Amino acid sequence: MSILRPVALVTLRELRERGLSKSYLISWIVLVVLIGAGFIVPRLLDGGNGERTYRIGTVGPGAGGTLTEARGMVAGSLPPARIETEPFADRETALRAVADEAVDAALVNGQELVVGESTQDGVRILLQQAATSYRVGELIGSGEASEQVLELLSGNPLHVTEAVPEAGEEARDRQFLVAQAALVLLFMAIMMTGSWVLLGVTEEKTSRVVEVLLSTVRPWHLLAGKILGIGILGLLQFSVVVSGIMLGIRLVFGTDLIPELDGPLLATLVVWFVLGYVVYAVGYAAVGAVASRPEDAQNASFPMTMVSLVGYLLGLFYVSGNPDSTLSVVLTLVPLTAPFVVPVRAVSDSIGLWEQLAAVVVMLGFAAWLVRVAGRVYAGGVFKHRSRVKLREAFRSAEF
Amino acid sequence: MRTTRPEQVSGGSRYAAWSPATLVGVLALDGLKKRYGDVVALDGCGLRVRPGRMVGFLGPNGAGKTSAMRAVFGLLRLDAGTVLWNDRPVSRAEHRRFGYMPETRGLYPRMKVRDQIVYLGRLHHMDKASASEAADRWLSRVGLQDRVGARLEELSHGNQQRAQLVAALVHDPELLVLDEPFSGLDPLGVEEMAGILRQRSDEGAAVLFSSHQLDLVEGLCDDVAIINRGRVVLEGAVRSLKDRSTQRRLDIDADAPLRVVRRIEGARILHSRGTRHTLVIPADTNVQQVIGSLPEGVVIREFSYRPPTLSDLFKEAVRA
Repeated sequence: MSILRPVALVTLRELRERGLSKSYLISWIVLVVLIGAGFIVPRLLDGGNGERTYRIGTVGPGAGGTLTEARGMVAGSLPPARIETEPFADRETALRAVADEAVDAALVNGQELVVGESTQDGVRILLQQAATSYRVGELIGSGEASEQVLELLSGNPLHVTEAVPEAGEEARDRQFLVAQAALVLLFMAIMMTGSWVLLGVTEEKTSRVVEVLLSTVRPWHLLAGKILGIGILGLLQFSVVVSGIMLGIRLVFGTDLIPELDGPLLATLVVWFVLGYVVYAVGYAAVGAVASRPEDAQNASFPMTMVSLVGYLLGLFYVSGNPDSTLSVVLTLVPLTAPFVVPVRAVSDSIGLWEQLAAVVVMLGFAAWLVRVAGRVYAGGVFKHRSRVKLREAFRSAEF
Repeated sequence: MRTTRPEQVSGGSRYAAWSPATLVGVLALDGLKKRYGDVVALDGCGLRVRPGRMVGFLGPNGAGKTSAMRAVFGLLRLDAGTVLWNDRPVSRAEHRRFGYMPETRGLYPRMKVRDQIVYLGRLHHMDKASASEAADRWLSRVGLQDRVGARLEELSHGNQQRAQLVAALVHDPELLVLDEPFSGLDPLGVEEMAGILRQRSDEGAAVLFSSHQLDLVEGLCDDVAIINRGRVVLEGAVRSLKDRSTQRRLDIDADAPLRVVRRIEGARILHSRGTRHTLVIPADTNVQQVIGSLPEGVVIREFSYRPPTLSDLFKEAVRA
């Protein structure tokens, strides 16, 4: 236990200091807004598919038959629509109401259709057709013939069948969306927590506190504790925000908008979340140790950020379309791209268990190697304050 | 206050009888060598720090003080040499019982003072309760009891320095290593810091600190180690180094000093100002004889004979 005690203490400090810091609290808000917008805005845009309402003004008697016909015509339409009526005292009032867009259109004594600039063509056609049906029906009286005439006049002589995808395919599409969402979240999480690690290490270096710390703990204690603490905070934040928003969507919009995840897939996502975070965090820690100032740290981390961005874009746009290609298989075994590739391939069922395990083994091996290299870079860079140290130079001049 | 402190020390084992059982340790640096490329930082540096003794670590800039101190904490990879604590190589377990104030000061700027002292105490294997208790005790001791909840960056420079000292002291270390602890302090701060170090030393801790303020070191330290070009060139108790010195100083205010100088074999004028002169003379000079042999008519207004100051010893050792 004593070997882990310093790691636990460093982790607890990160949890406490960072967890209660203003910037962490702000990051919650930013995340809620970002992810919330990502989930909810498309739903709101989809709201155009919801029920529409036509508001029709009436003056005097005689509109009833036309409106009944119109209601019958829109009842079965897709998307569904309904008609509300609003009676007006005289023609003038109705004209003003249409002009002011208080109603979509108005029928005067069943004889006249009042439309405005913003009246949709659909409303015009609907009311004209409804009036036609009503009057034809009046003229030819009731009977079988009139039914057929009416059906023709209703404008829908062809029987309509809607083509929907097969159930399995739909589920796969949804899982695909989940994988893409997970990829976006993974990338965001790595960028955000990675920058915390980067700036945390640089802060310890530039504030010179690191020499006091290293007089009693090993560099790897500091790195492990920091990465663990920040990882816990980051994952906590992401899982709470994401599940909160998913729950919110279920409550507000119903369950069918959120696809179910099966167990193995969820496990794959979590495993690659953790592996990806650790590898990138260790890299960011090394970069943070060679920077001389926080601004410098951002510049120094640019290549790392680019690598993760390339991995992310490849996963999102290439691998998702070509999960079985040779390049996708290769990217699975490249440690820096694997976290963005394996989840996508797992979703499309194009990666076998053995391949996943091989990817995990490569990743763990790489992480172990990277921890050693980063530890040396850290030890070589952390006492050099004058300017940014080259990674290679820091590695060579590691002192402890 | 210092009655329990023995005059001479030969090793750590003698102290088991008089000091708390935990406070028995001798730090020994032996033959430390370290090169940075073409620059030689340490070239066979060796010194001892004993319990209950304060050692002033002196040397010109770049002589290797900071490197030697970092070596104590394993913060640099030595090319050769050993760092021993009680004759055993120093390991992490020992580091936890040492306190360190690096030359480059630093604590977490945005962390509350008390929190970081407790944190550092716990990193030195104190439990939470005793780390809290020690943090409060030491912060009060240096007068920071009203600022314990402030962030470090909100403190004045002097108070930050006080917090830094507390960070090195919180776990009551057996060995204190302080790199330039007095730099940047006002005279009152220096006095306060010196008092605390003296107290820790009297309580049995071994204390090693570097400084350029030689007068201060002379008044405060039991022992000094003077390092030059990576090598300790003079080491020992201040008193005995002075006694052992082959030179004495003679301050004289007289009309014809050259006539005095000529009568002393090996004397030379160190500096002159008007009729006042400071001479370096061999330690075995018979001063009474010198005065007695002066011809009549030589007016002497001041005549003082003294061992060299630490500053004299320092310059002598470094120039040699």
